[in-house]
Amino acid sequence: MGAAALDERKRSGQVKRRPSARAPRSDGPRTTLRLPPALLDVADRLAQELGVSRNDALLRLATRGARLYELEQSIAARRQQRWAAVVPGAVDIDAGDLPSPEEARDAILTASEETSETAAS
Amino acid sequence: MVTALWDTTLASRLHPHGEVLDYVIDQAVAGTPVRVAAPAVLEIAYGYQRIAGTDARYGELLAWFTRLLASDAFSVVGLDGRAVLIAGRVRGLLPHPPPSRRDRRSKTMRQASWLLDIEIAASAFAAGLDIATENRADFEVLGGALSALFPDAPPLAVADGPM
Repeated sequence: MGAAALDERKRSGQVKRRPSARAPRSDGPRTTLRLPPALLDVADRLAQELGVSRNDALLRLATRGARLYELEQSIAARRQQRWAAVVPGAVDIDAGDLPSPEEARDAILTASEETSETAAS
Repeated sequence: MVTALWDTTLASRLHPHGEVLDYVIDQAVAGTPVRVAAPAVLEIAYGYQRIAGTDARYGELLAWFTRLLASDAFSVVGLDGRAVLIAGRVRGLLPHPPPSRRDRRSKTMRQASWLLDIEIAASAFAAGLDIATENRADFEVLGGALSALFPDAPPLAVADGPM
């Protein structure tokens, strides 16, 4: 059916809207999407379950997805901030006063032994 | 609290006949699965396994818990390279658990448990999460140690469980 013919039928009252077929009015910009069948199936099931329009169901799914996305983003940002606080800046090894390789290894292995002995005592 | 990592005190409440399971399933269905620290899974498996040899009921419970884990009903946050480095530094600062009159476990067990708590706190810190626990006192000590080591990092928040 062409757009002109549809307009004519609307004017003549032949096209009736279902009461629950409208998404809640919003002030956001309009958009047109091509939906994959799997998403359309989910949206239609949600729409039927809640008694709302397909558009409303899609908006609810998108809103939930956006909330999850924001949550994951905030966790990822905090993860990065914490790691940035853990990692030191540039380290000048030549200017540093370091333990010898033997001392360094002893520090690790002795600590393990001490912990084992403390735990066993 | 969907940004929190569950420790052993909370995860150990998972049971086929408990309301915690309902909460976990609800969260999974909502797309925000509960996050459980890998060392907490270790403690649960260890706790059931060591008794399963003498009490078959724990073997059943262990089988149920294994299936629950395999079904991805909750998410397990593991110890990665960042977390173990942080855990090692915290352990160096706090090698022993705070004294507790209520804790009647042996010194060896308390030490082992403390090390796992350090790993749990470090896992949460490295993953950008908070901690949900019934053992606030110990994790607040660990949170303090993390803030002392890394003063510029967002602090580790310690919260009660959702139930």
